[in-house]
Amino acid sequence: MGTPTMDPSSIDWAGLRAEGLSGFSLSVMPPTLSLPALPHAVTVFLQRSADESVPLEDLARIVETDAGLTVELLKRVNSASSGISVRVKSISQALALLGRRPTRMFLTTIGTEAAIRARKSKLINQNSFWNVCLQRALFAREVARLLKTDVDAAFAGGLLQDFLLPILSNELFDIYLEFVGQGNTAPEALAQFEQAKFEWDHAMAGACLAFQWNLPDELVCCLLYHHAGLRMLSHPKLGRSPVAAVALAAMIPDPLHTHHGMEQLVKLEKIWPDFNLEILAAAVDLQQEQAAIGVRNDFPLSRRVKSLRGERQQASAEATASAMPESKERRPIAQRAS
Amino acid sequence: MTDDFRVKDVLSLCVDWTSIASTRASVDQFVDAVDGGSDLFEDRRSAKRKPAMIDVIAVPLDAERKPCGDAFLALTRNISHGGIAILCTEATKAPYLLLRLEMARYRCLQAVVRVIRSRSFYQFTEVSACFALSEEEQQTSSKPKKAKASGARAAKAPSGRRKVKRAVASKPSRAV
Repeated sequence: MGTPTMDPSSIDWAGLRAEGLSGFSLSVMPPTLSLPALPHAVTVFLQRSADESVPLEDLARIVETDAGLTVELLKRVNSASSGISVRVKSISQALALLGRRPTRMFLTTIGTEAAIRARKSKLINQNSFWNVCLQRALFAREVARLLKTDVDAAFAGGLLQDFLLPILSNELFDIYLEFVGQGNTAPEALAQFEQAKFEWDHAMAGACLAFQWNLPDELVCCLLYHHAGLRMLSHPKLGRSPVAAVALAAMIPDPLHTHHGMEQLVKLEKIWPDFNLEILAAAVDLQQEQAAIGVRNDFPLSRRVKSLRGERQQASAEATASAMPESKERRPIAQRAS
Repeated sequence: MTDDFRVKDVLSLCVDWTSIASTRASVDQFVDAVDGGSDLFEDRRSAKRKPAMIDVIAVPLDAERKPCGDAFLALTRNISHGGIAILCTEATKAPYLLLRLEMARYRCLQAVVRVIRSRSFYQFTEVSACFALSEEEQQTSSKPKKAKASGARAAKAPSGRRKVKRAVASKPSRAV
């Protein structure tokens, strides 16, 4: 028996967000820490689009004030993945075809990525970082399809789950460097380390900032609970939500933290027949290639899965070999002669 | 038709099977971090109970500490340095349980507990248990006791902490 499918729109996202962030505010973070700001057009768009009565033409005018956003939105709506056969030339047309919610999610991810990319990071290579983020986002979207939940929220959550890390690790460089030196391989180790050092972690800080930026509550929850791991699948409310998809995507290792999350995903395969890691990885790699963000993907997901399988097969072969009684044939020649 | 997962199987995957036994230090650290509020239970127990509601994954274990049933979710009622009371919807007759307690913000304790008493509590089952710690197991090295004790006797059952005290007290005589 699986968990019952839950319509994401029936979840009290605001309540879950308030519960998760209770007692935490950005004021507990070091005052010297300079947090990023969303592009102005995105902030205004998020505020106005929350009101359903605001006409699409007004929203289109807001997007058009930012040339970068305009280009990205037109690229998105004219891409093959949107499945639209006509050529879209105006933002109001794009908004009408995509819909308010998917546009909000899209502009949020574009705006946040731009805000973080504008800053330098001493510890994290931004290109590799966003490559892994895209990989996680695509993986979260595939898992969301399996869970029959909101794929757009899962993609945005997957992409932005660690968005504050380049800035935090740059501003608090020495402390994060200490973590890198520890070589802890548990997927939740970074959050544990941050809790021990600061009494907050990047998931809380990212979610809190996202809330301040007026990002949708389901996205804030995706950021807040992204280190919940496999356990999120057993959550009575969120087990079938984009939050669970993002939590699974967070198990893919990143440049700052090499952990054994992939091994847990391999275990999940055994109890969830629909969850085939090889098929998912192939789909993710193909989409990542098509996305062509201009950076070579040195760590395709399929290669990670294959190497993991190879390691496991080798380990089991070695275990079988050591369990076998030592026969004459297996003994070295010198030993046989004696 | 899609092939779906079972929540019970997912719960079982969440448990770290590489080291199921916990130490006195890890239990103490976790219990100290539990915010039990100001109204601790007024009783004469050596280990004060803290009322606490923490999500728990429980796996029934047999006398040899091997899994003997499906994992299930439970909620703590109270916790002390010696033991724990949990509420669950499953009735279990296993002599031991492997518990994985996860507080908010990644503080986690995984421990084997010996079931002392299991009773109906409204529509739930309340399981009272004491921590079975690795070092105390080595010290006592006795066979696992059956979970027969109930009522007042169960409350007086030697807790982990008392065992430690006894072991410490008996040390000098052993040395002599």
